[in-house]
Amino acid sequence: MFNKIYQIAKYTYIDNLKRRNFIILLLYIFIVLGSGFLFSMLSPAQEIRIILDLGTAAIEMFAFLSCTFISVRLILQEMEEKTVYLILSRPVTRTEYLLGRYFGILSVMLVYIVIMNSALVLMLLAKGWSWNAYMLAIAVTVFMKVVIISAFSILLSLVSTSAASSFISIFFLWVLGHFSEELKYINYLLKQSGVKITPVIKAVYYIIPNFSMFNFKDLFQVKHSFTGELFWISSYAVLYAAVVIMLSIFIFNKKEL
Amino acid sequence: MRIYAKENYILLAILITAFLTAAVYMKIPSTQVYPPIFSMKYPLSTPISFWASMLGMRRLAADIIWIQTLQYYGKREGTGSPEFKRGNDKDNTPYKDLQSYWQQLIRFDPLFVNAYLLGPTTLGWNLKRYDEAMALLDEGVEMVEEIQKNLRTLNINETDEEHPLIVGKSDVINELKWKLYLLKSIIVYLHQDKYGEATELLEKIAFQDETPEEIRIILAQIYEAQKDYRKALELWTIIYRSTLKETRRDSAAKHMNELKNIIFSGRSLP
Repeated sequence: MFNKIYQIAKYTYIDNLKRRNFIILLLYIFIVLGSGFLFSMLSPAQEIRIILDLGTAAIEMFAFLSCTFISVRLILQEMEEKTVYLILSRPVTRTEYLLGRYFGILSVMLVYIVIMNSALVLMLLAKGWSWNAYMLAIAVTVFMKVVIISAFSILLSLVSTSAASSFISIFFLWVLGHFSEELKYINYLLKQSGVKITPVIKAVYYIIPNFSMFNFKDLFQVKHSFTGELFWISSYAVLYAAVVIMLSIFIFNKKEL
Repeated sequence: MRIYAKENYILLAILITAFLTAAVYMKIPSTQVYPPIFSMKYPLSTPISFWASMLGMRRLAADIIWIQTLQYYGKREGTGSPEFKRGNDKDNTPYKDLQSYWQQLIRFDPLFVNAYLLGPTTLGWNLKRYDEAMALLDEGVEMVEEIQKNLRTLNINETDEEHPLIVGKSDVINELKWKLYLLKSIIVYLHQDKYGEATELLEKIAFQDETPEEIRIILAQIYEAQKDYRKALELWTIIYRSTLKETRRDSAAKHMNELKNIIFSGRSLP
């Protein structure tokens, strides 16, 4: 079973290289380099801080967009074009197929995140920034967001009928996940004013993945030690993704292709 | 329905993993140490603030507002006119919106040290709007205290160096709080024309690495007004060497030449 999952994951990885999706990395490097020159002129005093913030935010956005794009295109397109039969007609179960695809997407994203972070660190070091291990924590949290959002992309590709609706739903989920702490505050305000929809908001707050706690990049000045928290956040991401992937397997096994 | 069907095992696994996820979620301390954006006193007007809260990019939003603020205020230097006014400032107040720019900035990133240093300087010293400068600093103190309160709510003992959230944190926040109180005192002294007292306090922050040039310029100008030309020259030399702005370097060079002439000739500034 593991060998089959590995083979599908490897195929997914190679397929992505062939499709030249990595062009997005060149776009990222161009943005980081461009911003470096632009901000050195606009705000010399805060140049490093701005490159750092823009770079980390761009890594996250590029990671989100590419993992969503790859996941939706792979699953939905293969089902629509019936090319999924080519794989499933071999001695490969649907569970193995889905897990192989998922781990393939994650391996592609891991390489993307490592390359983008390396480019950012090199740019910052060239500007006189002193190395801070917190950058590694930021990279891990971005990858953990990708672990969750890739699982959701696969799930939504299985239940939705078009790529557009999948993209919109995933974007909505991404926004809501980052909005969860604000949601908690809105819930508090509504409770104060006696509005009775607070259980609904509370349920949404707990069910939607809480991406705001992965936002290590917004607390750069504040956090200096992170290992304990990183462990719990990573465990949460892996378990949450496991639930979503198992749900996808359940739906995919029931689905008529 | 078969009890031992594969689907039932998957459903059971989903339930167990969901339970474990919830258990782990409860173990994670809330990392929301900053006040929620919607809890701020005044509504934020820029679309960027909305999207920043939506996508969890507070620091980047603060950076963008920082550049917008510098562009808004920096027009004076660029145009060469000391009384530059924005087109929408109908009541002839120069830089009428400057305070709200700084307020938005510190609300997004309450630990943006340079905003606290530069904001009150531009409002209090340059524009003589001491009330606005004090209001900005008061809000800063309020937010920094809220961050400390949030940390306490998370049962984080500020001396507990083992806690993942706290190592180094108390230093950053306490140092900022100390600077805010210092700046408040400077604004009060400047408002009351007590330059001697203001100078003493300014000297405590003016020579630190992260201090913006504007603080050093204020101190250099006070030295000039107090006829302490040697100290003024020393400070303008630091500004000349450290500034990245061409116009400011030229201005510093001009001041240095004037001061050197005065020191050698023994006369005083007009």
